[in-house]
Amino acid sequence: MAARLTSDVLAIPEFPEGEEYVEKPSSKVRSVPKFSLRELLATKLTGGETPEFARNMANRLWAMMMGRGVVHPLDAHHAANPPSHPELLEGLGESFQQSGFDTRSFLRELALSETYQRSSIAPAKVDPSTIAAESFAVANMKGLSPEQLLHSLLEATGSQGVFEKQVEDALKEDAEAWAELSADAEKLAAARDAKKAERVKEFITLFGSTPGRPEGEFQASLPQSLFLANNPALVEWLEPQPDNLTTRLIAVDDPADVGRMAYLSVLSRQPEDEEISLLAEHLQSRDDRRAAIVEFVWSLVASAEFRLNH
Amino acid sequence: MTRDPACQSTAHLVSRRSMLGNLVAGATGVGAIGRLVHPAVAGEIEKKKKQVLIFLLNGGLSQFESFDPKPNTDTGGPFRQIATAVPGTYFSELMPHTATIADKLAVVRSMYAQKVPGSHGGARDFVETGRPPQLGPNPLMGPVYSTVLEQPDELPGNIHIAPSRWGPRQDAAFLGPKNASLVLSGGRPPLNLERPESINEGSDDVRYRLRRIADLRFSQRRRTAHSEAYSASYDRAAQLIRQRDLFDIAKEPEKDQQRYGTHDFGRHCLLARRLLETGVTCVKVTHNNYDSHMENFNFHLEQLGEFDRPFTTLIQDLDSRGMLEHTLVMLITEFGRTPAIQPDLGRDHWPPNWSVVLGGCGIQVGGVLGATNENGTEITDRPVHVAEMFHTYLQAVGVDPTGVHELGGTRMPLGAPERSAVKELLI
Repeated sequence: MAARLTSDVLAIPEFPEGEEYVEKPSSKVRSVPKFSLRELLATKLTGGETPEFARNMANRLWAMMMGRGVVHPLDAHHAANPPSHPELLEGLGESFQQSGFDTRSFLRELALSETYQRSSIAPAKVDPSTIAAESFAVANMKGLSPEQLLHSLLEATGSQGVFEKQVEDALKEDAEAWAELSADAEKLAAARDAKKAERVKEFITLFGSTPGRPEGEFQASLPQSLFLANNPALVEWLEPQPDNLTTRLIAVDDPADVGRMAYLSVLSRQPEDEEISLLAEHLQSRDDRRAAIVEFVWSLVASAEFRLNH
Repeated sequence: MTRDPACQSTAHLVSRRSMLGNLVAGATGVGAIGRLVHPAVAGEIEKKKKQVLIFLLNGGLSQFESFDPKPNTDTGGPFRQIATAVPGTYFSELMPHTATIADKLAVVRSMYAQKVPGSHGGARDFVETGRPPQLGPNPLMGPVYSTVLEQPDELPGNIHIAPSRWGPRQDAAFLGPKNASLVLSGGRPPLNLERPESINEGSDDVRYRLRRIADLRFSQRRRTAHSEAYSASYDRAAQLIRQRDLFDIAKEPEKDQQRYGTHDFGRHCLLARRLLETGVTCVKVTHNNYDSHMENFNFHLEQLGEFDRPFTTLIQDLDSRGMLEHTLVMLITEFGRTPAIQPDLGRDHWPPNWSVVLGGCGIQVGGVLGATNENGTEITDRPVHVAEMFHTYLQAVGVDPTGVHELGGTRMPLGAPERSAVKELLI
């Protein structure tokens, strides 16, 4: 636990009752106190007297980019849990503070670093299991954030249009409200946005960390995998729909072309030869080509390669 | 307490749990081979498996209206006390059925906590993690039990039968989402358990296999911890989809459905029995809501009126099936309620003293530990801190609460290191 700030350390001025405010609180006015402990705390933390604060912040931003903190776990930043690279952490804290806590430029520096740009693939002849996560010798994989996951799923399966239609269908469930909305373009747009926000929130609840807690290392839960396997809305994105990926793949005959289109759409890379032959084998083994394509597309979006930022 | 000799024999019967366990093992094949043991030794192994049943009376059960009645005092309220199966021990008249099984329970009337946050969530965390929430987040008991107790590979380790609108929650803290409770909101099966119509079983097997191949290729030259965790979550999903009958109490005898009652809590208790019988390690049933800042007496009349019978029925069933021998039962709540009765007949939050109840595995039953004074305003005998109880919950099922969670280099103590188990409650 943090040490308490007590009044014998900080002089907290006292004011007679009724004279505590520059601007008194009321229903329409935001109050301005003559003295604010929170404001004092903010000034103290960022004023250069507390390098611990700069290091803690720098460590969190580092973890956001690198998949793991120099001090790890993030919320256990104390003497008994030393940083893996003390000099690095000190340098990061100092540079963050000197920049006036400029988050954007700090993140840019991290993104330009060799560490960030490393691949998660182990160098040839190195057994990946011998590489410690805290060494940062290869990239530590991160799960896609809940928001990234939703948007990547839509993008990968070509389902933006299907998603829009799902949103509209959901609004139409209440016929009366829909009649009102369809008469007012502004209200309709707001209602659509609200519905979409509900879906985003669903992903955040299911795939995000506990509110107020940092995202830890990637882990997968049962409700998550059940969702990715069976959620009706998500399954619709994989079914043939006007102009989505599955429909486009069904129209292509050559397995090599199917493979190229699918791997580029979902995993943003070309398939390897062996992957093409596995796919050809799969397509041949199934009588139902439609089902075969749906199974294949799902196997790609449900793969670790898609789920993990690598 | 010695048990009814008639009950002893049931411990040697092959329970439905071990039978189902073997059936499941047969169906899933790989990974469950270790569970296919010779029937002669199955009984021995069975005995060692421990299970836990938690009743959370959410909102703060009044000790006065339940296990620590103070009739005819300024704080006691309108209800009488009634005799129980244990001579000299009295419960509130709101718990007539529970009173008949007092000999299978241990009542602690001197539970307390200090520096409890005003919020229900914070106070609940204190009780369910054994640590002040200010030092959290720490894992709740369910995730702890599913980590430290032996459990069937093919079943979720801990299941929370929750009131409606309780969604999944990351309640495993540093033990990670894979150990989080599987929440059955409103007692319904987990979301997305049903395969969509367009995907038949054959298709499901094919797509899981393709997915697995993709992951193996991806993992070839990378560190594998993340992709393995990801694959394991799909394996568990596939297993659970095959076992979705697990959550269907319509499969239980009609007679039992009547005995437990058709209201939510009755159905939830029957579901808890079904899950425990199948072998789920830890089952928690939450009953809403005891937060009676107003109309405390009507509130408790209604809530306990619903709770009393199904709770008793479940304990009796576990007992007659020989399951209490290896199943720890606890009835917990986040704090007690104020001795002072508020002007609107309410009782507010009261962490200085309240009651909890234990039973089953490892517990010395048929007695009362601790006491409060005449009108229940303070503890007069054997104060028991919430963190001591947390140790006790672990010790009762044979887990050393002074041990640690090994977390890849980091070690986290199971129970608060400065506390220990309550010996008087343990066999």
